[in-house]
Amino acid sequence: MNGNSPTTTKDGASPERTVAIVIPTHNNLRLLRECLRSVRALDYPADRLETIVVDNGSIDGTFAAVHAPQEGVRCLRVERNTGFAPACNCGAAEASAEYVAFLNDDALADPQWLNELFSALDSGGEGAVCAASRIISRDGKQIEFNGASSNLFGVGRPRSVWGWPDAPTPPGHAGPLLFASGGAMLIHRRTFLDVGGFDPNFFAYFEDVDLGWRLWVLGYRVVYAPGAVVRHIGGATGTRQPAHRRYTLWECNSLATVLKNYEGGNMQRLLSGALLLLYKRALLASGDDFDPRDYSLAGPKDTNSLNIERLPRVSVAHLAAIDRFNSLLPAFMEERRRIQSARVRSDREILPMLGRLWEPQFAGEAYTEASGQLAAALDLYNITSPALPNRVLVLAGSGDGEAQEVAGALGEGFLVALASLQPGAPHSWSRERSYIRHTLAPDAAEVHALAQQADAVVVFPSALQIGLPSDLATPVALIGSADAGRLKVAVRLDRADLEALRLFCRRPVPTPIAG
Amino acid sequence: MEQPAPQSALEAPDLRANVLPTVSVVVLNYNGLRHLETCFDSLLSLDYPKERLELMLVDNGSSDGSLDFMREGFPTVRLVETGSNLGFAAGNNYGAERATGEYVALLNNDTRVEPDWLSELVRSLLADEERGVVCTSSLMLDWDGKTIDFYSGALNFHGFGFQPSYGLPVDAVEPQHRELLFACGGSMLIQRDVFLEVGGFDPDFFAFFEDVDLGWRLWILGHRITMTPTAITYHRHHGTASGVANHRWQVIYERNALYTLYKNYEQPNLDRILPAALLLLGQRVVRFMELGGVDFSDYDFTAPLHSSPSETPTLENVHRSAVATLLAADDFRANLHKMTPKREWLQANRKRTDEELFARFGQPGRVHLLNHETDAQYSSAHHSLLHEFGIEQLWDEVPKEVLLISPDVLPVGDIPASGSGIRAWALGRGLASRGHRVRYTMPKAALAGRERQVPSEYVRGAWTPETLQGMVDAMAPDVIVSCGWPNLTWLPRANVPVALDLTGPHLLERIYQEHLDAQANSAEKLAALERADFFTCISERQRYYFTAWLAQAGVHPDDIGSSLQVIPYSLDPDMPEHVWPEDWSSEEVRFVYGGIFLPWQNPAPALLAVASVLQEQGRGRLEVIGGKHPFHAVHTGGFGPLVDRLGTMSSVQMSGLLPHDELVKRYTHAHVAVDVMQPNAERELAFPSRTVHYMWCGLPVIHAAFSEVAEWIRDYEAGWVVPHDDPEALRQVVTSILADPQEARRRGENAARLAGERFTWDRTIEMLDRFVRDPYVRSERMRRETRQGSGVAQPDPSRNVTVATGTDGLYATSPEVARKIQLVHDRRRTLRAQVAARTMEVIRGVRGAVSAPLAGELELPELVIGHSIGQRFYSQQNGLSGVRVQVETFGRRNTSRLFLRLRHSPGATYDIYQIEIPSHNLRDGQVLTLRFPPVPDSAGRWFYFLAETPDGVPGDAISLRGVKNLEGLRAQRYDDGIPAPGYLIMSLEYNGSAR
Repeated sequence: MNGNSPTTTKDGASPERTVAIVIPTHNNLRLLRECLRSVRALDYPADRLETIVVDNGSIDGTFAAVHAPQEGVRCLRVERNTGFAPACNCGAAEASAEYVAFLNDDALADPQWLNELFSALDSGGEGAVCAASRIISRDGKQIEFNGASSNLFGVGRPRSVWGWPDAPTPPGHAGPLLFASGGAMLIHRRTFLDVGGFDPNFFAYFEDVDLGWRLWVLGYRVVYAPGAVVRHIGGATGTRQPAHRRYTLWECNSLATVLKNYEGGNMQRLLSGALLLLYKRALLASGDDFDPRDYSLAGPKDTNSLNIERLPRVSVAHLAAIDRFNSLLPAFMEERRRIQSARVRSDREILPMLGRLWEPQFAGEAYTEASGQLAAALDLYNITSPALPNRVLVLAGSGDGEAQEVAGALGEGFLVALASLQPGAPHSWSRERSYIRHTLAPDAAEVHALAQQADAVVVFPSALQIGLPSDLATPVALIGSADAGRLKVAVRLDRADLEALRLFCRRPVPTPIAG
Repeated sequence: MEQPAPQSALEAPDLRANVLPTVSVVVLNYNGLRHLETCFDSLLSLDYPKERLELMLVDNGSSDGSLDFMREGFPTVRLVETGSNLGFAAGNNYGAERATGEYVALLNNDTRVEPDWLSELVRSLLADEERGVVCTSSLMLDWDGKTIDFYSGALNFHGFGFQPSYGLPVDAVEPQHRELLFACGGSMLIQRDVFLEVGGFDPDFFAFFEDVDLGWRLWILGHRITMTPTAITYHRHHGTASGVANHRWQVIYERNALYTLYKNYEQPNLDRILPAALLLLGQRVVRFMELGGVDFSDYDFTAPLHSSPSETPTLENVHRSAVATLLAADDFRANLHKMTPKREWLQANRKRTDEELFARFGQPGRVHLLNHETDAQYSSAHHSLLHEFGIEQLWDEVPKEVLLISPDVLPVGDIPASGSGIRAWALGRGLASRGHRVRYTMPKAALAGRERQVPSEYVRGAWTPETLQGMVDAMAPDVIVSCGWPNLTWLPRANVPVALDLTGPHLLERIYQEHLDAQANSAEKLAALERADFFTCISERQRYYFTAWLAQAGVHPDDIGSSLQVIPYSLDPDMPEHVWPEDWSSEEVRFVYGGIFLPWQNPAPALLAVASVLQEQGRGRLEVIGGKHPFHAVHTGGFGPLVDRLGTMSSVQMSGLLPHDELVKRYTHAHVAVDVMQPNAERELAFPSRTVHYMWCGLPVIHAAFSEVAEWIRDYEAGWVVPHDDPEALRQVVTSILADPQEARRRGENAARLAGERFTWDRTIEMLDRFVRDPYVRSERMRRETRQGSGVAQPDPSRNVTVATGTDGLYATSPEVARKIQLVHDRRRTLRAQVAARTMEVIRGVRGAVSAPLAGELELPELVIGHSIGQRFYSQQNGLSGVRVQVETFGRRNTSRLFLRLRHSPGATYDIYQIEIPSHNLRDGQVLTLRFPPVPDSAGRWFYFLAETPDGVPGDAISLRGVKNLEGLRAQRYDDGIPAPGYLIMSLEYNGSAR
């Protein structure tokens, strides 16, 4: 994008590039030692490597234990815990290498980690400045980061969607992605600093989503290096904080991601939507702790003359997030103005990178319903559809010719996956003219995953006979008059009414089935 | 927006019966039996022709026998039944649909009207119809006709309507026939077909703001609305809405504000305003949660954990308004699909732009008041959203409501004015010249004994230290302009954008006035500076001086350049004409010195030199006009002996301080002004108003060379510049003037040119006008830190990091400190659990369980950091001047300190009074008294007493003594702001003595 762009060498390994490994830490000395051991064992020339531990106000003696210049480990001491983002920024600013690699203090890097990251950058195309690692659990059984996606409202997820016409192949392949996990990533240091680094006001959570998004907005690329493996031991700093504090940051930071990164016009409408949904979550999170009838003019008289309700802290946290967001607004807006004035890519180019635009942030039908209604009322689909059509999952028994026909027709205008259910069948998939056809068992995990990623599900009677996942929260259109079974939320459509079906798929607002 | 309507409206149209239109009066009723007789009696007495009048009662499903009563008592009234309670909006629509008149008058049932109420409304509407007026509002007074209920309707940008004149005494406004954004739904007349065509009141509103929405919609569609102040309605307060708890209404109230803005704004403006409105809604919820007792600092990631996650109580107490407001947002969301078609229809038929209508809002940027007062946190969110989202720009042509606080007498009426009063006046007039509505307030003390000499509005609007905050809260101006920082010490909650005019260092002055505690002065000054957002000063030199102060007050050095601007001392662009003699031979050359005698000014050597030259030459005269400060008790320093000496000189004529007009007359007839002071720190920084005033009157000035204004005088040849310490030079100048007085005239004309070009308020106001047009609240984060601890403002990491090269020990926390912190946390945990348990007890008690009779002592825990013990109490008399409580030392000597505070309520965030008490000398059971100047109107009011400690830790903390039962005082005890059982031992003092 500018003179600061890295010089990409095409000849594979590039041992001449210098890297600073920056490890932010806070009272985690035991794991940090293990982490540092893995860094020492990296297959990378030691003279091209500097290791910087940023001690975020630890009181467990971290500084004295790891500050060892003769061994190439520098420890920067921040006097109080300013958070993950500022610590990373500070490490990057203090480093002198061409690249900086961020690594969590409770993560172990594979010896080939850096080489794999560089090779992904080198083959990542023009503007590739940042590479993401594959993060797995210590025993390798769980995958913690294997791709990236986000919903419209800045809630990032460490996995990609797949099985759809825009992304048919399962994850694990090199390629562009929305963001790299801040827990283990490589980035061109100058670029990182120039784009503003991690937003220090995020403190923790989602700062990596925001950075990745921003990099794309500013014309750079983020790529995935599946071979760059990092094992995450767990016990991260954040989990030591109570849930209500974490919620506060999650909610505030996702709002800030929306505020900073969308184009003018889109931002305001999406922010309104995000706020109304946030208030909905605050109410839903309070569960049954107050009686809504006490707030209705027609409700019965109550005796709570103190006018006090008892709400769960996780519910109050949503409002603490608003309080925080409002107070940081001038800072976020200053960032917004800076980013927008340097914008290279449009929202329309970036939205497909998000992958799962409508993924609900709160479990349950009430929320899904609310979010669908809101999207329709605020015309949010007008923002998203031109960039990334809604995902429609068609569920049918295998050999349902009508379902194939409908899937083909919906494939013009939507991203369609047809799940042909066949008990006991191993999962296979094929690319049809306008949709992806999956053949799989009704109880396969993939059915569940596809349904979760879908914005609308179309169910044929042939599928109902075989059986469906019980917790479909996605809006469902039920073809024909078959028994709705366990589906609580659906729209019934006539067999032949393709236009009505299209309308539903464009604005999937679920309505409860009567009775 | 309050323009008078054109003259035609005031001329009575032909009121002969045959041209009068038919009118249906619709009175909506829901269980309002007790109001009906009075209301309909007054309607039967209307002077409107009966055959053209239809009286209707629309019954919204009453169950109190209203209908039977009407059938019996008012058989001529047409009864219409809706069948069930449709709400205010739909009920009125129902009536209007069934009415037969060409016009519908909508009237609340809890009112009575004057006999000419309807004929006045009709007359007014008929006269204005040609201009597109379709609806007119009645003037609403309270039941006794003493105060105003509805005279003007205004709207803030996110949908909250308000009534600016509400509660004012009737004689405080001069009612005008004029245009309004909306008519009061409780008493208005509207063309029936228009009402129905535009959809009437929006039935989805049920109640609240449906009249605001209708008015706004009518204007959008090209219609107009007026106020007819001659049509008078008397309104019984809270006659109808009572009986249902406030929080239930609040759901509708909050939701309807969102409905209103959602339907009526043009799309681009809606896009900008809706997210801001929603963020403000959230901030209100935050406030309501705090009212219930939520401590938001516990939601800060960086704050020390109050307790371990597993032990943190999972529930918080929130005020019900919080839940109501969230439900309002959710109701809005759930019903958006109902609003969208209405919005689309309205926007498709739009005849006027938002831009045209903003001016009719009245005060679009007004902060929504929570519980009738502003809240600092909420206000700063409000102003930062307006600024950051570019919302204020939407109406930057709409004049702002400015409250200008003068530290001194203003040049109004017949009293002597001071330089700082004239300065304040000039800033106000400058802003007014740019269209803003400026309300001036000057110190009441300055008017003492002179009330008859100034216009009554200034007397009514004068401030005292006790009333200033309340005045700001009630007025909610868009911007405050404070002249001089000392005013701001009386504004602990400067919740609106504040421009602070710094006319002088004001510290040196204090020292000269023998307020000698420089440290206290500085602290007070810094605290005041922290309350302002934008600064003006009077000269370039002062800019440098204040830069350092602003940096200390927390203004970021990068922002000082833009937030501190120079506005020279300025005067009216309409300058007085100077009178010069045609012929000098018969004219004595008159030198003049004028102004208040102040101890930091020393013109003596210069004045004596001038006087002695005149005396030696036996011609010319020196007039000295001046005296002691008219209002502040400032001693006159060296002026006493000077006046004595000058008084003995025949060339000198002395006179006392003069009213401004008189002074100007003297100046315009004099020939040369003298302003040569001896330098000191104050004078070197000053931009002498005296000299500007001279030049504005067309006088050339002999001025001291050290002063900043000397350069202007040189550049314009507007006088003579002499060194302050060279009497000979001064003598020569005086001699030369006596020899060639025509030169004085030439230089005087230059002086007038200089004043006109550089020192008139229409020109110098530019930078302040810019701030007022798009004002902002600075330093939100800094203010917030006082509440939220350090977590929100994230410092730039590069500034915060210490690249350590030495040993770890430098930064380590000592084990002793760590142990102390741990102790505090442990203590907090147990206390919180106790508080929660007590709260539940109280709630259970209120909910019906029988609580045991209380007797004897109540043991209260140690008061440690982060906790408070309080008591709300009721003052039965006026003159409350002290609160006495008893201390509990746990039988040991403690070192912690104790803060005793007096507040208005447990929810209040600021102190009315406070003291700090060291505890090391306290005896067990000792009485502590929080004393303060008597509160004159304390009778019948609740206050809140609060004790906190900044450093008490378990084992080294004191507490207050409690009892289970307290005689003679109505009170409610609080722990950490949450109602708690028992009482603090407390007695009150009135007018300085104990009761």
